[in-house]
Amino acid sequence: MKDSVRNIQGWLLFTPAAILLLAFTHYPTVTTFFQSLYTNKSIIRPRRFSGVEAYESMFSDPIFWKVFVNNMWLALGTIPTSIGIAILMALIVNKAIPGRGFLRMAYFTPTMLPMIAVANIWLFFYAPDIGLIDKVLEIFGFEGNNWLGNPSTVLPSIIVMTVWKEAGLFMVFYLAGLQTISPELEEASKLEGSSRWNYFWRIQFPLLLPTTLFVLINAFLNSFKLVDHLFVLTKGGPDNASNLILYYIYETAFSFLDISYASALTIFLLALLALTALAQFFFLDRRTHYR
Amino acid sequence: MSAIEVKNLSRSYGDIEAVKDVSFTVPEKSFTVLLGPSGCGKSTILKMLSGLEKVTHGIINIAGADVTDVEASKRGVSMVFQSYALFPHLNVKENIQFGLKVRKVPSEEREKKVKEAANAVGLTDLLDRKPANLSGGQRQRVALARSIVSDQSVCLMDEPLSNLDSKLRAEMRDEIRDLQKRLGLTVVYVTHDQVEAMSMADQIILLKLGKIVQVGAPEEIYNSPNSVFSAQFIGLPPMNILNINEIDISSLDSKIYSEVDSNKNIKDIGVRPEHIVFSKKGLSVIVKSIDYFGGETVFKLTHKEKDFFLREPRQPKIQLGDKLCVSWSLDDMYLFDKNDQRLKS
Repeated sequence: MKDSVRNIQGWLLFTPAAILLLAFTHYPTVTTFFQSLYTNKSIIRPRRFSGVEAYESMFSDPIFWKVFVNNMWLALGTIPTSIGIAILMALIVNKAIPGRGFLRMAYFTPTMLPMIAVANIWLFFYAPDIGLIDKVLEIFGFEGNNWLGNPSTVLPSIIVMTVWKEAGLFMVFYLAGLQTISPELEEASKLEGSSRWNYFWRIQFPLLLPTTLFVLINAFLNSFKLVDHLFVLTKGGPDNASNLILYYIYETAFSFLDISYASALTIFLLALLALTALAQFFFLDRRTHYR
Repeated sequence: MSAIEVKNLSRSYGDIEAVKDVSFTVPEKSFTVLLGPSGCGKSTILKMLSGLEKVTHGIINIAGADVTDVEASKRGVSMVFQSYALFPHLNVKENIQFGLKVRKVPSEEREKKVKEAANAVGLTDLLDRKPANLSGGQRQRVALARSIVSDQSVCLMDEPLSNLDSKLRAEMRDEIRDLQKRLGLTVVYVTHDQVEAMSMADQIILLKLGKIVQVGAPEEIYNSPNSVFSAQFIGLPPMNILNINEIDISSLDSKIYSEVDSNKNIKDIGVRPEHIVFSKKGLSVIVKSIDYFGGETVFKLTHKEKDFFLREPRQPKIQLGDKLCVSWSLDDMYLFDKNDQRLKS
């Protein structure tokens, strides 16, 4: 077959995917970028070029900084904990123990639930006085707390819920990772007198590094992407104590109808996530063993 | 003194008995092979010796001490696994010294030992490589070095050569045997390959369905098998087993005929392929196939629809379908009873 014919065939195969990507990913991204460079159009004022004004006001906006810091705390609070719990759960259900199938299912259930349903369940746990947590505290004679209404406990409460929801998903990845490790490696290290912990730390954990890299990127992206629960639980309150970047973007764009500022926020989020993904990829990739 | 003593060892999984009442001893500095077809319990026995598998009944003594309930790392054994069990993220050196680090051996001594072991197996130039960048034979050497460096007197090997191609397998066979002699190791070696067993072992323990069939030096098992199973498992092609009711025994040599006819317990007679010769008189056969191997020729013959083999070092001018006669001498014939046990004459 001639090269030109092969080239045309190649392009034809590529076209459907390219159209979808261009229409729903690249075009909106580029439009958003341009929108962030212009002011909003209204009846009395036409659109005008404003350059980086929207970005300047973003960096001087105290609410922006608040939601950004909130988001960082959420990432810091959920990622190490959920990875740790996921590895632990995976190690447990990787062993030949009775009821293993049931345990695996139980650990995975929170992941299968939609975020809105999870939020509804936790709304019941966190409800002041009548909620599960306050009821249990009452039995032991502790005073209850309005977990979601108190600015100092609302973000930790949401972190706990996110860990509960995400650990099961990460467990599945770790379980898959563990099962690619030959059981003979454990036998060999046992014969050498290696303790369970030493085996985990010297053998299993390094061999799980590719999984960890994957989970790390996903967990970080999720901590910026998952905001469904805010609609049910707090709407970002009280006083933006639980507000997150994506929810703030949504509010700015569709409640305050400030498209220009929302576009600037979106571009910022996009840049942040892209840079993080690249940094993680290049930094961790070098030190990670791939088979 | 014997390095390993096993008494009445059994292992069952639920109702399935994988190993049934097995007893044997392994002399110090000897090479003992556990040989048998798959599912005969040989790997289970090895794992019980190593401590990686629990013992249902019985006692294991290693170097004079009862280790039946002692954990794996305290038994004084090292092991070479079928898949080599190398740690893929560690380089050759790290792999070899893994156990030394666990046991907190000082770094100078560690270096020295790794060097010696790497030298012994010819890995000195490859210490920085990862297992993924090694050939099968080199990986095998790393596994051996790891076992040597542990300084245990007993080395257990679980089909260590089964993942190698046949040329490399022959090389490694010599090398392992040489290493065992040089370092004075006591080796227990599991295999289903009778060629490995014959060429390497000081002692073969032949197993079938979790039970010991016969124990002895290779030549002992080859020359005086105690049963049809022993006779057929060792030797290639295997010993010909002929049911006396299915062959025309009257056509055989008169001495053989009277011997076979005199004992009512005889069910089968066995003759090794190399002991059967073409002759003027004897069992009438038709040549069914001829396999020429250079150093020898193996003929598949048929007599009354019963196939058997004849092995010849020369290349006689014989064609497919030729009608000939074969015979053998009385001394080369083995007799078996209806329970497939050898009858001593």
